[in-house]
Amino acid sequence: MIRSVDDTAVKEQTRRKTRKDSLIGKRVPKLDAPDKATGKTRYLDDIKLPRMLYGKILFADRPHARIVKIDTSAAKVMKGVRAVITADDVELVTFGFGSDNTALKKGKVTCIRDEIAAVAADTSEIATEAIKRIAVTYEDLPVIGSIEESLADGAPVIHEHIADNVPFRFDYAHGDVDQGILESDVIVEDTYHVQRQAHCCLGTSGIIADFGSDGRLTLHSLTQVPFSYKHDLSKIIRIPPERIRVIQPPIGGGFGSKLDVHPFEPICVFLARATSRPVRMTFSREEEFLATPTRQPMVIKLKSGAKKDGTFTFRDVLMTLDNGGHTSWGATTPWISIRTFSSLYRVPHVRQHVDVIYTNNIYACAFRGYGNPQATFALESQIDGLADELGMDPLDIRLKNAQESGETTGQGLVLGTCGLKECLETATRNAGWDVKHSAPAKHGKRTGVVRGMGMASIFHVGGGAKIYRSDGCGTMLKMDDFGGVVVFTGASEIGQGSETVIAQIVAEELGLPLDNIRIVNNDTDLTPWDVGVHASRTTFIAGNSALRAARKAREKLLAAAAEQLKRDADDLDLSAGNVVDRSTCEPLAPIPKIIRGLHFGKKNDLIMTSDYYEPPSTAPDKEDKGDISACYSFGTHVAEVEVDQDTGVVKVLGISAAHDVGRVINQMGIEGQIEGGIAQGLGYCLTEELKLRDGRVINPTFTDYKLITTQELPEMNVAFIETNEPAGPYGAKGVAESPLIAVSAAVANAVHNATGVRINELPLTPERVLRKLQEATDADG
Amino acid sequence: MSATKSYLAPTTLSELTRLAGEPGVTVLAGGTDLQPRWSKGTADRPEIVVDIKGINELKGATFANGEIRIGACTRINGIDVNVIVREHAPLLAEAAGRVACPQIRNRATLGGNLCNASPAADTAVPLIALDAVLDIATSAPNGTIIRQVPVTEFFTGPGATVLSPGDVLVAVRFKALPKETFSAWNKFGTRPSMEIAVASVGVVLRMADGKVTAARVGYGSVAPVPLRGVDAEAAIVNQTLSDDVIARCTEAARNEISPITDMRASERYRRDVVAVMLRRMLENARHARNN
Repeated sequence: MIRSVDDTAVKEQTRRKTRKDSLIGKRVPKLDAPDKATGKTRYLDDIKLPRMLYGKILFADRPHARIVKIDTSAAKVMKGVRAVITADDVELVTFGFGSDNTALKKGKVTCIRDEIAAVAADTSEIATEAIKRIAVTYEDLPVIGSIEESLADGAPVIHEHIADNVPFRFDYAHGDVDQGILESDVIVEDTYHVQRQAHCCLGTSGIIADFGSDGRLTLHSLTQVPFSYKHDLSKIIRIPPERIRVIQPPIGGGFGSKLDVHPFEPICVFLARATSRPVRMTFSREEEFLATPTRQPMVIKLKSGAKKDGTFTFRDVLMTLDNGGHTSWGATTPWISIRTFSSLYRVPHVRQHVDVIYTNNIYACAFRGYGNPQATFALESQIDGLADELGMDPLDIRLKNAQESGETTGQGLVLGTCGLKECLETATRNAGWDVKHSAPAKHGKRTGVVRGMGMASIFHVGGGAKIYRSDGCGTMLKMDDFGGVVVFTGASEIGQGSETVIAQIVAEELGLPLDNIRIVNNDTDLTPWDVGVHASRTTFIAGNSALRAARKAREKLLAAAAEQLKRDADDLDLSAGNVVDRSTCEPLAPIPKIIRGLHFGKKNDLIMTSDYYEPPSTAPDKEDKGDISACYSFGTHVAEVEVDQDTGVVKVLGISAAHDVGRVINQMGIEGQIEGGIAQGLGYCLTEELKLRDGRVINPTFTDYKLITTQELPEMNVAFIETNEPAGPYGAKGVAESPLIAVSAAVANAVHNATGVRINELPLTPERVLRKLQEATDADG
Repeated sequence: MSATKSYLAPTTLSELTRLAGEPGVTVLAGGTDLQPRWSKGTADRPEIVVDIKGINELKGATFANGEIRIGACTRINGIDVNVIVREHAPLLAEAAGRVACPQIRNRATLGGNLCNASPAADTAVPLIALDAVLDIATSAPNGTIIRQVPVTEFFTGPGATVLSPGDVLVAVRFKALPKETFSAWNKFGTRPSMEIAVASVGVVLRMADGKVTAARVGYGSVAPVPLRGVDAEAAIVNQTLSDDVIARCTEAARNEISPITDMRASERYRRDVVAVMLRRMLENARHARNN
């Protein structure tokens, strides 16, 4: 089914494709790049308000303990200390997705990052020293460091109200898995283990809380979701949301880490209230590793079947999540995992059961891909397993089961445009699949360096995700007398390049140079509502909203021009700053002149428009079915690797990627998204793991938490499949999360291809790979 | 909150040795190990900092009478491309080029890398294989006394050396490798830069008539101190590098090291990669010999 589109949109699209000065699809440097490159960008750390104090938090440093006593007296008497607060000094309101968190902790702590006390002082050095002088007496409780320990008989209860340590269970089904098993000629079953990944935003967490004398609160906050943030935070700090203003300084990366309200944020507000002075709090890198949430580790038991000809029959998924000591929105990542299991390929019978498990580990939250990297690693690894069993080429089995445009999946997702088959064909062709991929290595003497190739595909929401009551975004637009345009968008910029895309869209519609467009996107007092930057939704949703606001301005401008120039509006167009003749492109009048004619002439009118765009998607029903997104993006990654079988080192030589992005809007921006996603995906696959021992982080530094560096990046060949999604701005779909999702499975499949050994645990560190190779050799005898 | 009260920057060795013995003094070279500890609060700031970067006699590499001398305050960035070092001790050039990253190498010094006494110190292992001797200066009533300590005796534990208060490492000296000598150094990690070695190995082999006539083997990150591989050496001296001999040598290496399990690698894996690196070096030596 293709969604219906109004004729104007189609006409506009065709017209724009043929126009020479079109900005769409061009390589446009990000608007914030010059300031960032020259060091002019003023980040949170650069903001210093008059009389500002510095806040610091004392974290528990105990994974599970009763708080017996907190003695703050020595800190309070220090010169320069303006406030010391504990849970006893503030009204405690529970918050978080599981209502199991408070800003400061009372009674007990459930993970090492639990906030015990906080200080505001004249300098950050004094605050740091004061924190050291707070004496806390604990009574240690048994530590639950893993899912297994948490589920063991007689395990200690972490939160009183959840006696079995399982705060959430999710179930999903379509078809009948038992029937699917009967229909299968081959069945493969495996257990996959995926690790804890840290976001590693270049900018660490921070906030400034500043009360006006009228009691209004201004927050300089790095949140990704300013409007729901106001709403959630207001309940915790007991200030009505209409009295809170959120200003976002340039944000040094989000990746989902700023989707929730974190305890340090209300704490900073409490300090500002206690001192009647602005307070700034910023995390050190070590605090960032210890006291911010991570991607959730999961254990995924997956069983799936196929018929002799490769047709998929069923999939049975059992998933457990290490939630940590509190619950964030991240507990809902299985909502996205299940959509990959149910809808990336055609499969008639699917069942998923998920248990979200409390442990005394630092807690987990949203992270680029939102449960999809975990699911895709399991699913795409197992598809290769099925192909092996059937003696099929991994490409053929995927092509056989790939979704196509017009299908409605078992979960009720309507795939208007779907370029999966083209992605599979393009990525493999560019990688040289026919020549380089051979049948998996036969077991033999596992020594020396070998090469292999593997693939994996991607399914993700591409037109927002209707999780909240609205998945919309607002835009306001004003044109001044000189042709300058200010666009107020609800969409936040976290480095992904949305402001550039929005400016391109507006410039395109109004026939103005990009320089004429300014974007205001970081102040809730000025910008209209948006649900937030997540779910790869901004280009699609905020882009559509900006497009519609710009079209309203365009219509008004053309109507004014028609009147002033005594022409028919349908014969006019806007191009390069002028009103032009639509057929000849001959300039008729500068746009500013028409605006001034409107403003100062008889009409005395201004060009100001607004739009609220709500995507044509539906919230999932009680069975978690329904068309959750306005469109879906697809992709395929092919990885070529070299494996040193003596040391276990996996070197990725190349990634060939093909992404169904609907339509490219900013070629340079989208290349950055894809390449950055591949790099982050390679880290997840090969090196990144925040390691905990009994609830304590043992590698909270970049020395030992290993990101992929530029020196290790492989050749990346990125192809764009343009399916022209009718609902998208100029045909575009969201693509931000996709490039991270399939890297692990593609590389793991390539390692299997090279060595004959399948590794179902991430990351593929040299030591893990070597051990698995040795185990396989031992098993061969 | 400890604070440094004075910062002194002597320009001669005799001034330095006189100052170094004063109470509360810490000698500062590149500062790439000390500064982060001071900033993070994992070490107290010393009362008096004596910065040695202004002392010219502690800097640079010289070659005389078949011996190479590198001043303790010579920057690591430069040792990797120094023509003397590359020609006569290529394994040290190799190791110097893999310390941390260019920015840190630009600041860090050879003496600092040794005095910090990390079991993972990249430059210590090639110096063991080169049989290097360290010149250590101490103030005496009638001037400065210099004593020699073999690099194999310099380290006494993680972060600990034979240096007493007042001692200053002045220079590293070793004999130039004869032309036909085979030498190699490598460290194992997961990335090419910014990597603390999971394990490292250095070898120097002299060969005649297809046999190894003399051998020096060193290991890093597999014992409390950078270690000389006495048993591995014994397994190959006076032997032809056959597969069997190489296997005996790597087995000896596995057994004479005493690695620990930590967040970077397990004990078992460290033994595995030491054996692999050593085997590959010996195979290269045999190959070089055959060509």
